[in-house]
Amino acid sequence: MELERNWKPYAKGPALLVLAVVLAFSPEILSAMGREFTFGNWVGYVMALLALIGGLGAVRESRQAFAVRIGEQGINWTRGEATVDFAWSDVTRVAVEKKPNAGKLEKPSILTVWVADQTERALSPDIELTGLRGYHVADLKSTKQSRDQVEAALRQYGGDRYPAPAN
Amino acid sequence: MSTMPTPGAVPPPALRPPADGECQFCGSHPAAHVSFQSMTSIVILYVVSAQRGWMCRNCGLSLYRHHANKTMLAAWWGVGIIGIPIFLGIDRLRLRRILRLAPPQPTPGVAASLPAPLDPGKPLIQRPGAILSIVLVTVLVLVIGCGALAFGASE
Repeated sequence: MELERNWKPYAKGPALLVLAVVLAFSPEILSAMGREFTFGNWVGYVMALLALIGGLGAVRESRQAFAVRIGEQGINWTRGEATVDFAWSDVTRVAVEKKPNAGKLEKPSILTVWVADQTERALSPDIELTGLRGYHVADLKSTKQSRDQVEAALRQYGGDRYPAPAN
Repeated sequence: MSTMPTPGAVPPPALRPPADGECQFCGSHPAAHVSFQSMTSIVILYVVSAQRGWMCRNCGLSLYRHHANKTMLAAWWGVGIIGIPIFLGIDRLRLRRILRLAPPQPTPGVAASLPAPLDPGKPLIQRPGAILSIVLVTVLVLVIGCGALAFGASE
Protein backbone atom coordinates (compact mmCIF):
# COMPACT_ATOMS: atom_id res chain seq x y z
CA MET A 1 0.00 0.00 0.00
CA GLU A 2 1.25 3.47 -0.86
CA LEU A 3 0.21 6.64 0.96
CA GLU A 4 -0.25 9.84 -1.03
CA ARG A 5 -0.93 13.39 0.09
CA ASN A 6 -4.48 14.68 -0.27
CA TRP A 7 -5.36 18.27 -1.27
CA LYS A 8 -5.02 19.79 2.21
CA PRO A 9 -1.21 20.23 2.35
CA TYR A 10 -1.26 21.73 -1.16
CA ALA A 11 -4.04 24.21 -0.32
CA LYS A 12 -2.61 25.41 2.99
CA GLY A 13 0.33 27.38 1.55
CA PRO A 14 -1.59 29.33 -1.14
CA ALA A 15 -4.41 30.02 1.35
CA LEU A 16 -1.93 31.54 3.81
CA LEU A 17 -0.27 33.59 1.03
CA VAL A 18 -3.67 35.01 -0.02
CA LEU A 19 -4.35 35.81 3.64
CA ALA A 20 -0.95 37.57 3.84
CA VAL A 21 -1.86 39.80 0.87
CA VAL A 22 -5.27 40.62 2.39
CA LEU A 23 -3.63 41.45 5.74
CA ALA A 24 -0.98 43.60 4.06
CA PHE A 25 -3.77 45.76 2.61
CA SER A 26 -5.97 45.45 5.71
CA PRO A 27 -5.42 49.09 6.84
CA GLU A 28 -6.71 50.32 3.45
CA ILE A 29 -9.57 47.78 3.45
CA LEU A 30 -10.60 48.82 6.96
CA SER A 31 -10.28 52.49 6.05
CA ALA A 32 -12.64 51.96 3.07
CA MET A 33 -15.10 50.42 5.55
CA GLY A 34 -14.74 53.45 7.83
CA ARG A 35 -12.83 51.51 10.48
CA GLU A 36 -9.23 51.22 11.70
CA PHE A 37 -7.01 49.07 13.92
CA THR A 38 -7.35 50.15 17.57
CA PHE A 39 -3.61 49.78 18.20
CA GLY A 40 -2.44 51.11 14.82
CA ASN A 41 -1.80 49.79 11.30
CA TRP A 42 1.34 47.92 12.38
CA VAL A 43 -0.93 45.14 13.75
CA GLY A 44 -2.04 44.33 10.17
CA TYR A 45 1.52 44.38 8.84
CA VAL A 46 2.83 42.10 11.62
CA MET A 47 -0.02 39.63 10.99
CA ALA A 48 0.70 39.79 7.24
CA LEU A 49 4.37 38.99 7.87
CA LEU A 50 3.45 35.99 10.05
CA ALA A 51 1.02 34.70 7.39
CA LEU A 52 3.69 35.17 4.71
CA ILE A 53 6.26 33.17 6.72
CA GLY A 54 3.70 30.44 7.42
CA GLY A 55 2.56 30.35 3.78
CA LEU A 56 6.09 30.10 2.39
CA GLY A 57 6.86 27.32 4.88
CA ALA A 58 3.70 25.43 3.91
CA VAL A 59 4.44 25.78 0.16
CA ARG A 60 8.01 24.55 0.70
CA GLU A 61 6.72 21.60 2.76
CA SER A 62 4.13 20.64 0.12
CA ARG A 63 6.77 20.71 -2.67
CA GLN A 64 8.99 18.22 -0.81
CA ALA A 65 8.83 14.63 -1.94
CA PHE A 66 6.63 12.45 0.26
CA ALA A 67 6.00 8.73 -0.01
CA VAL A 68 5.15 5.97 2.42
CA ARG A 69 4.92 2.35 1.29
CA ILE A 70 3.66 -0.37 3.61
CA GLY A 71 4.51 -3.83 2.29
CA GLU A 72 5.72 -7.30 3.09
CA GLN A 73 9.32 -6.15 3.63
CA GLY A 74 8.48 -3.28 5.93
CA ILE A 75 7.75 0.43 5.73
CA ASN A 76 9.58 2.60 3.21
CA TRP A 77 9.41 6.31 4.02
CA THR A 78 10.60 9.21 1.83
CA ARG A 79 10.55 12.81 3.01
CA GLY A 80 12.36 15.40 0.95
CA GLU A 81 15.66 13.95 -0.23
CA ALA A 82 15.89 11.36 2.54
CA THR A 83 14.54 7.81 2.43
CA VAL A 84 14.34 5.44 5.38
CA ASP A 85 13.57 1.73 5.20
CA PHE A 86 12.09 0.15 8.32
CA ALA A 87 12.34 -3.62 7.90
CA TRP A 88 9.65 -5.43 9.91
CA SER A 89 12.41 -7.19 11.85
CA ASP A 90 13.59 -3.79 13.14
CA VAL A 91 10.14 -2.47 13.99
CA THR A 92 9.05 -2.99 17.60
CA ARG A 93 5.65 -1.43 17.12
CA VAL A 94 3.71 0.57 14.58
CA ALA A 95 0.62 2.52 15.57
CA VAL A 96 -1.71 5.35 14.66
CA GLU A 97 -1.33 7.75 17.57
CA LYS A 98 -2.50 11.14 18.72
CA LYS A 99 -0.38 14.21 18.11
CA PRO A 100 1.85 15.15 21.03
CA ASN A 101 0.03 17.48 23.47
CA ALA A 102 -3.32 16.56 21.88
CA GLY A 103 -6.59 16.93 23.75
CA LYS A 104 -8.48 13.92 25.09
CA LEU A 105 -11.16 14.12 22.37
CA GLU A 106 -8.73 14.38 19.41
CA LYS A 107 -8.69 11.31 17.16
CA PRO A 108 -5.35 9.52 16.58
CA SER A 109 -3.95 10.37 13.15
CA ILE A 110 -0.15 10.14 13.26
CA LEU A 111 1.32 6.97 11.79
CA THR A 112 4.23 6.27 14.15
CA VAL A 113 6.94 3.65 13.72
CA TRP A 114 8.77 2.57 16.89
CA VAL A 115 12.20 0.93 16.74
CA ALA A 116 14.31 -0.36 19.62
CA ASP A 117 17.71 -0.18 17.90
CA GLN A 118 19.99 2.86 18.07
CA THR A 119 20.87 2.85 14.34
CA GLU A 120 21.34 6.34 12.86
CA ARG A 121 18.90 6.80 9.98
CA ALA A 122 18.64 9.45 7.29
CA LEU A 123 15.82 11.15 9.22
CA SER A 124 16.00 11.89 12.92
CA PRO A 125 13.42 10.42 15.32
CA ASP A 126 10.55 12.59 16.52
CA ILE A 127 10.36 10.96 19.95
CA GLU A 128 13.21 9.47 21.99
CA LEU A 129 12.30 7.30 24.96
CA THR A 130 14.60 5.12 27.04
CA GLY A 131 15.33 2.24 24.65
CA LEU A 132 12.75 3.23 22.03
CA ARG A 133 12.69 5.73 19.16
CA GLY A 134 9.54 6.93 17.45
CA TYR A 135 9.26 8.29 13.89
CA HIS A 136 6.17 10.28 12.86
CA VAL A 137 5.91 8.93 9.33
CA ALA A 138 2.62 10.49 8.17
CA ASP A 139 -0.38 12.45 9.36
CA LEU A 140 -3.37 10.48 8.08
CA LYS A 141 -5.48 13.66 8.01
CA SER A 142 -3.28 14.75 5.08
CA THR A 143 -3.35 11.53 3.06
CA LYS A 144 -5.77 10.27 0.41
CA GLN A 145 -5.93 6.89 2.12
CA SER A 146 -8.24 6.70 5.13
CA ARG A 147 -7.22 5.58 8.61
CA ASP A 148 -9.20 2.35 8.13
CA GLN A 149 -7.29 1.49 4.95
CA VAL A 150 -3.93 2.15 6.62
CA GLU A 151 -4.90 0.10 9.67
CA ALA A 152 -5.94 -2.79 7.44
CA ALA A 153 -2.52 -2.71 5.72
CA LEU A 154 -0.72 -2.56 9.08
CA ARG A 155 -2.74 -5.53 10.36
CA GLN A 156 -1.97 -7.45 7.17
CA TYR A 157 1.78 -6.81 7.04
CA GLY A 158 2.73 -5.75 10.57
CA GLY A 159 1.14 -8.64 12.43
CA ASP A 160 1.51 -8.29 16.19
CA ARG A 161 3.59 -5.13 15.78
CA TYR A 162 0.34 -3.32 15.18
CA PRO A 163 -1.62 -3.27 18.46
CA ALA A 164 -5.42 -3.01 18.53
CA PRO A 165 -6.32 0.70 18.57
CA ALA A 166 -7.53 2.03 21.91
CA ASN A 167 -10.08 4.39 20.29
CA MET B 1 29.48 -22.55 26.36
CA SER B 2 25.95 -22.88 25.05
CA THR B 3 24.18 -19.83 23.63
CA MET B 4 20.84 -21.61 23.48
CA PRO B 5 18.11 -20.03 25.60
CA THR B 6 17.23 -21.83 28.80
CA PRO B 7 14.20 -24.06 28.21
CA GLY B 8 11.14 -22.50 29.75
CA ALA B 9 12.79 -19.09 30.13
CA VAL B 10 10.34 -16.26 29.42
CA PRO B 11 11.77 -13.62 27.04
CA PRO B 12 11.58 -10.04 28.34
CA PRO B 13 8.49 -8.18 27.07
CA ALA B 14 9.06 -5.92 24.07
CA LEU B 15 9.27 -2.26 25.03
CA ARG B 16 6.32 -0.04 24.17
CA PRO B 17 5.56 3.66 24.61
CA PRO B 18 3.18 4.73 27.41
CA ALA B 19 -0.47 4.00 26.63
CA ASP B 20 -3.64 5.67 27.90
CA GLY B 21 -3.75 5.41 31.68
CA GLU B 22 0.07 5.55 31.95
CA CYS B 23 2.12 8.68 32.59
CA GLN B 24 3.44 10.10 29.32
CA PHE B 25 6.62 11.33 31.06
CA CYS B 26 7.68 8.42 33.27
CA GLY B 27 5.38 5.57 32.16
CA SER B 28 4.08 4.95 35.69
CA HIS B 29 0.49 4.16 36.60
CA PRO B 30 -2.10 5.19 37.63
CA ALA B 31 -2.41 8.38 35.59
CA ALA B 32 -5.14 10.87 34.72
CA HIS B 33 -5.62 12.90 31.54
CA VAL B 34 -5.21 16.55 32.51
CA SER B 35 -4.23 19.88 31.00
CA PHE B 36 -2.30 22.65 32.71
CA GLN B 37 -1.96 26.14 31.27
CA SER B 38 0.16 29.18 31.95
CA MET B 39 0.26 32.66 30.51
CA THR B 40 2.94 35.17 29.63
CA SER B 41 1.89 38.74 28.97
CA ILE B 42 3.71 41.82 27.70
CA VAL B 43 1.72 45.07 27.26
CA ILE B 44 -1.07 44.14 24.78
CA LEU B 45 0.28 40.70 23.88
CA TYR B 46 -0.22 37.44 25.71
CA VAL B 47 0.85 33.87 25.04
CA VAL B 48 -0.89 30.86 26.56
CA SER B 49 1.13 27.66 26.79
CA ALA B 50 -0.54 24.37 27.65
CA GLN B 51 0.58 20.85 28.45
CA ARG B 52 -1.97 18.07 28.01
CA GLY B 53 -1.79 14.35 28.45
CA TRP B 54 -1.73 11.44 30.86
CA MET B 55 0.17 12.26 34.04
CA CYS B 56 0.86 10.39 37.25
CA ARG B 57 0.52 12.05 40.65
CA ASN B 58 4.15 13.25 40.90
CA CYS B 59 4.57 14.44 37.30
CA GLY B 60 1.15 16.15 37.36
CA LEU B 61 1.88 17.95 40.63
CA SER B 62 5.29 19.03 39.33
CA LEU B 63 3.78 20.41 36.11
CA TYR B 64 0.95 22.16 37.98
CA ARG B 65 3.49 23.95 40.18
CA HIS B 66 5.63 24.84 37.16
CA HIS B 67 2.71 26.35 35.22
CA ALA B 68 1.18 28.16 38.22
CA ASN B 69 4.58 29.65 39.11
CA LYS B 70 5.11 30.74 35.49
CA THR B 71 1.69 32.45 35.37
CA MET B 72 2.38 34.29 38.64
CA LEU B 73 5.78 35.44 37.37
CA ALA B 74 5.01 36.33 33.76
CA ALA B 75 1.35 37.39 33.50
CA TRP B 76 1.62 40.62 35.53
CA TRP B 77 3.26 42.66 32.80
CA GLY B 78 0.35 43.26 30.41
CA VAL B 79 -3.29 42.56 29.65
CA GLY B 80 -2.81 39.03 30.96
CA ILE B 81 -3.13 40.37 34.49
CA ILE B 82 -6.89 39.91 34.11
CA GLY B 83 -6.40 36.20 33.45
CA ILE B 84 -4.18 35.41 36.46
CA PRO B 85 -6.97 34.35 38.88
CA ILE B 86 -8.81 32.49 36.09
CA PHE B 87 -5.76 30.46 35.02
CA LEU B 88 -4.72 29.73 38.60
CA GLY B 89 -8.27 28.70 39.55
CA ILE B 90 -8.80 26.41 36.56
CA ASP B 91 -5.40 24.74 36.98
CA ARG B 92 -6.13 24.23 40.70
CA LEU B 93 -9.47 22.59 39.86
CA ARG B 94 -7.74 20.27 37.38
CA LEU B 95 -5.11 19.38 39.98
CA ARG B 96 -7.84 17.69 42.08
CA ARG B 97 -7.91 14.80 39.59
CA ILE B 98 -4.16 14.34 39.99
CA LEU B 99 -4.25 14.49 43.80
CA ARG B 100 -6.90 11.75 43.89
CA LEU B 101 -4.45 9.32 42.24
CA ALA B 102 -2.45 6.73 44.19
CA PRO B 103 1.36 7.14 44.28
CA PRO B 104 2.96 6.20 40.93
CA GLN B 105 4.10 2.63 40.32
CA PRO B 106 6.48 1.74 37.46
CA THR B 107 4.87 -0.19 34.58
CA PRO B 108 7.02 -3.10 33.31
CA GLY B 109 7.78 -3.02 29.58
CA VAL B 110 7.01 0.68 29.14
CA ALA B 111 9.71 2.93 27.69
CA ALA B 112 9.41 6.53 28.85
CA SER B 113 11.35 9.74 28.43
CA LEU B 114 12.07 9.90 32.19
CA PRO B 115 13.50 7.02 34.25
CA ALA B 116 11.40 7.99 37.31
CA PRO B 117 8.48 10.31 38.13
CA LEU B 118 9.31 14.01 38.31
CA ASP B 119 10.13 15.52 41.68
CA PRO B 120 7.18 17.78 42.59
CA GLY B 121 9.69 20.28 43.99
CA LYS B 122 9.02 23.18 46.35
CA PRO B 123 5.42 24.00 47.33
CA LEU B 124 3.92 26.79 45.24
CA ILE B 125 4.01 29.31 48.09
CA GLN B 126 7.82 29.01 48.31
CA ARG B 127 8.39 29.70 44.61
CA PRO B 128 9.41 33.08 43.14
CA GLY B 129 6.06 33.54 41.36
CA ALA B 130 4.05 33.29 44.57
CA ILE B 131 6.43 35.61 46.44
CA LEU B 132 6.30 38.19 43.63
CA SER B 133 2.51 37.95 43.48
CA ILE B 134 2.14 38.45 47.24
CA VAL B 135 4.38 41.53 47.06
CA LEU B 136 2.53 42.98 44.04
CA VAL B 137 -0.94 42.33 45.51
CA THR B 138 0.15 43.89 48.82
CA VAL B 139 1.47 46.98 47.04
CA LEU B 140 -1.73 47.24 44.96
CA VAL B 141 -3.95 46.91 48.05
CA LEU B 142 -1.89 49.54 49.90
CA VAL B 143 -1.97 51.97 46.96
CA ILE B 144 -5.73 51.54 46.49
CA GLY B 145 -6.34 51.72 50.25
CA CYS B 146 -4.21 54.86 50.69
CA GLY B 147 -5.86 56.41 47.64
CA ALA B 148 -9.32 55.68 49.01
CA LEU B 149 -8.39 57.13 52.41
CA ALA B 150 -6.91 60.26 50.82
CA PHE B 151 -10.01 60.65 48.64
CA GLY B 152 -12.29 60.23 51.71
CA ALA B 153 -10.28 62.80 53.74
CA SER B 154 -10.40 65.40 50.96
CA GLU B 155 -14.23 65.28 50.75
